[in-house]
Amino acid sequence: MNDTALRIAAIIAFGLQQFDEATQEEQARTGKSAAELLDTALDRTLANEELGTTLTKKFASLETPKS
Amino acid sequence: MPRLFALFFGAVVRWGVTLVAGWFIGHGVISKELGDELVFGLMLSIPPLLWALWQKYKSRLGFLTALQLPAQASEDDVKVILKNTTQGEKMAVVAGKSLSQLMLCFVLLPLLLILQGCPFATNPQQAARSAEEQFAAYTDRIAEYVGRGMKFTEFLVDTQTIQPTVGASVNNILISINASDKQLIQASQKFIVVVDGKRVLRFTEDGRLELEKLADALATAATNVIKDPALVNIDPKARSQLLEILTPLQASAKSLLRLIQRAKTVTNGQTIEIELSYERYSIEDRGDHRLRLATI
Repeated sequence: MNDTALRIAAIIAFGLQQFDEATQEEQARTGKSAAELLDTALDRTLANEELGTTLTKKFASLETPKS
Repeated sequence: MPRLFALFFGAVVRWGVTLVAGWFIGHGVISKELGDELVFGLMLSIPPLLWALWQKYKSRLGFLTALQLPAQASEDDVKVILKNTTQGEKMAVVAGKSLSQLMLCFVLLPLLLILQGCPFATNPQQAARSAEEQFAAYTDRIAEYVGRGMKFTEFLVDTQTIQPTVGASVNNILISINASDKQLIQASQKFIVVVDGKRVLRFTEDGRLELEKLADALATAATNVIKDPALVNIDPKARSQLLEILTPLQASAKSLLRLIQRAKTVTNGQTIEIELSYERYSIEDRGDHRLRLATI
């Protein structure tokens, strides 16, 4: 029961942190030109690609039973 | 404090809190998609609020009038008395000696209504953005949401809230959305031209058709993610948090597609106004088959 409560609290805290970061990102977009926004967007997609690949490997290793 | 005042105060405070949220949207603290939804919600909230206040007033009036009647009096007796009582007398019955507090509620209510009419939900800087800037901002938001979705998926696996296999499925979906977004961004960057030393995004009609296809693929991918079976078996709390990220992602992808679809070719230098979400834009043909979208 305590574990579940802690997990839920952690999820909510993580969500709030994400919301706070998203707010700052939204404000950072203000004042940027379309070309600059596209540059930022492309950089983000490249970073996402990298993160996606890392996570694919990480999740695969967790799925594999250790012998 | 009169009971009615307490009832009114609760309703007014709740509404005030909603208005504060509207202010945050108006200042770009919350994204435009969420803002649009909230403004729509606020518009819908006015009639129920007025109705709720009126019902509370009527119920309190009936109750207090009944208290003044003999014990054997019926509901019809109350109705007859109320029918023969002026509105001022009714208010005096309800407010008792604290009529001023009740009047305060009636002053507060229209004041809040007026405030709601203020352009709280319009961020002046956001409204001043050209359609190209809006378009680019959507691609950036989608990329941001994808990144957040990935980090959150990792967090869920790390905390053993979801199985690594489920995490892998969600991650794969996000990877495919990211690929669509990247393709769209790279295709759009071809339309950046340098004008007076500044890099400006200007779409051509041919380009619009190409971008529309890519945006359509992106919107479809973003829509499918919410329906994906991988999300169904996730812990409800985790799913709800994940949807907090994925829903605006889907909304951004759809807005982006709408933005492109609504752009039309204009000939003879004629300017045509089009409706774009909650903002109005004009499209000008610059005479060289280049389109320019601008806010009106």
